[in-house]
Amino acid sequence: MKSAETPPSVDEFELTLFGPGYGESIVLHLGGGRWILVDSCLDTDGAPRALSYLESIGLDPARDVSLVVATHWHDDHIRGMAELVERCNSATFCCASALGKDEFLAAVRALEGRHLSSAGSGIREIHAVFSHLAQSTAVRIPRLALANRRIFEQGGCEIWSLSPNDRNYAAFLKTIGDLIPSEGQSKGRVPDHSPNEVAVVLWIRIENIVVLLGADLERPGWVEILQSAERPSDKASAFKIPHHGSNGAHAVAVWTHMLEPNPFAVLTPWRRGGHALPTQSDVERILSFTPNAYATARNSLSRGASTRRPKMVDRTMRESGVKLRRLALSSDAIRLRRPLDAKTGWSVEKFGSACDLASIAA
Amino acid sequence: MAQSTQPLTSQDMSTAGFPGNGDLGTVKQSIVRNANDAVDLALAHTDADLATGERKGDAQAESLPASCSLERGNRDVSQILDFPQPRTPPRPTVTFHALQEWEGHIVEIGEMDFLARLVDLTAGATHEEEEALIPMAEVSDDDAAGMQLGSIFRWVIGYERSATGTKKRVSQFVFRDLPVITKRDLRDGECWAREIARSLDL
Repeated sequence: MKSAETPPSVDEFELTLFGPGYGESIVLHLGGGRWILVDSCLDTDGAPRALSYLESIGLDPARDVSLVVATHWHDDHIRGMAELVERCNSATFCCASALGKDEFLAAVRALEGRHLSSAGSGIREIHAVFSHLAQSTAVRIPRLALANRRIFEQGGCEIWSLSPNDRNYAAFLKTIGDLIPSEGQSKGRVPDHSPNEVAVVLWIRIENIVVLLGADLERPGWVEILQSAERPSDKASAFKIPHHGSNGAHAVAVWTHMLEPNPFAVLTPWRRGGHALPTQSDVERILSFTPNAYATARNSLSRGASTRRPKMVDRTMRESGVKLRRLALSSDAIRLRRPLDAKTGWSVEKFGSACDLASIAA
Repeated sequence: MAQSTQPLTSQDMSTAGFPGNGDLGTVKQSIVRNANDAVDLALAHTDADLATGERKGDAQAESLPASCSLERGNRDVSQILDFPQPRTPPRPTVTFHALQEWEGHIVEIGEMDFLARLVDLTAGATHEEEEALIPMAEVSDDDAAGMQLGSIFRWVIGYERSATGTKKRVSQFVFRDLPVITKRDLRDGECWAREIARSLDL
């Protein structure tokens, strides 16, 4: 296995998926030293994992990154996004068009105009991203993603957003009403459970390689993508499985109509309290479509030692009945590489506790 | 369950980043105010005595040392009076020493417990590194009733030492009384959104 610090060759495509921990983040090499970043998560130092990776392989984010995409604004996909946008200052920022709507931005400002919490949040990241772009001395007009829109084209590479469509967009605008705090309502953190109609699915073609990045789009969104006649029709050989492999984001026709047989499929696990994704049945279902499936970790809880604290603290927690768990950090990754001419297949490298999905099923 | 039977002292809450309420700062202010009052009172008495002495041609006034030429505004009262010393601050009857503090936000609420993501303030963390399933019994009835997804709280574990020196472990959850949205916030939000849209050609 190559070292994690080995950069791809100029004519090699790369898709590296980081996670779990505070979410997931994808780094893509389009060939020719051009990179794009999709979503953001944090590493053990609280820095965006994508940036530390790029720097570890000797790259300059300010020079080498052409595009930064926020597929949606949930905490687990956007932590550190503002820093990505700031550091990758020659890159175009792309997000769902609905996030550029007045109503949404007004809600973001009203909720995050005053900092309420030590921890970051998706709303705070969006606020910081737009503030930074507006204050930037260089003109940095964001690219807004909608269904069937080509958002990037450069030197043989094209990137399309396949979602959200008009109906998702309208549904999102309706839910913005719930986000906007009414006068007199207490400010608080916007829960992560808020609707996610506007996740941006990306279809990417570079020479002979096609990949599909599923973001967190759920089944109704996929059905609409599948029904669209305008989307690019070439099938992908690599797939970022949507929404941590959940059944709610599964559509059989995606595997049969948008992906080549036995595609290389990657996912990040997710866990909150007693709920974990993928479930055993999710794993079995995915493996029924491809044996080439990988996860960045077996689960999203830390395997490391728990934080050392005074015995009195541990004892008090035990007696209180509080169950404390460490969250995993984003040091785990799966890296897929393939020559741009696609004459050979995908190579797979697993870092940290990344594993074959089949090993989870075992 | 380890819950305090007495509220944290304001010093503790101040340590925990919460504004004090009847805290030691107030006690100190009270002490200072008392000392100042004592000075004012002493001066008032002196003035009154002197005035009385002057009026009466009191021998006592004449017997005052020369250094006490009693010109108003130019008096060294400490040399005149047995000046009342500021009182020693009353020692709090209960002290609290925080060993561990987290800030948390609620991500799930159940009937018997709630799930929160925690930022370890003691370790200086800036993001959530832990998740805790916390029995509802750990929080007050009022806090439990007002709990909602996204609610922010402070969790402090430490020990409390009573006036008699008894040490007791304490775990306390303090929910933040978050500011309410005002018309001004909403107007500011709309204004900011318009400005962003204009700047970025949205």
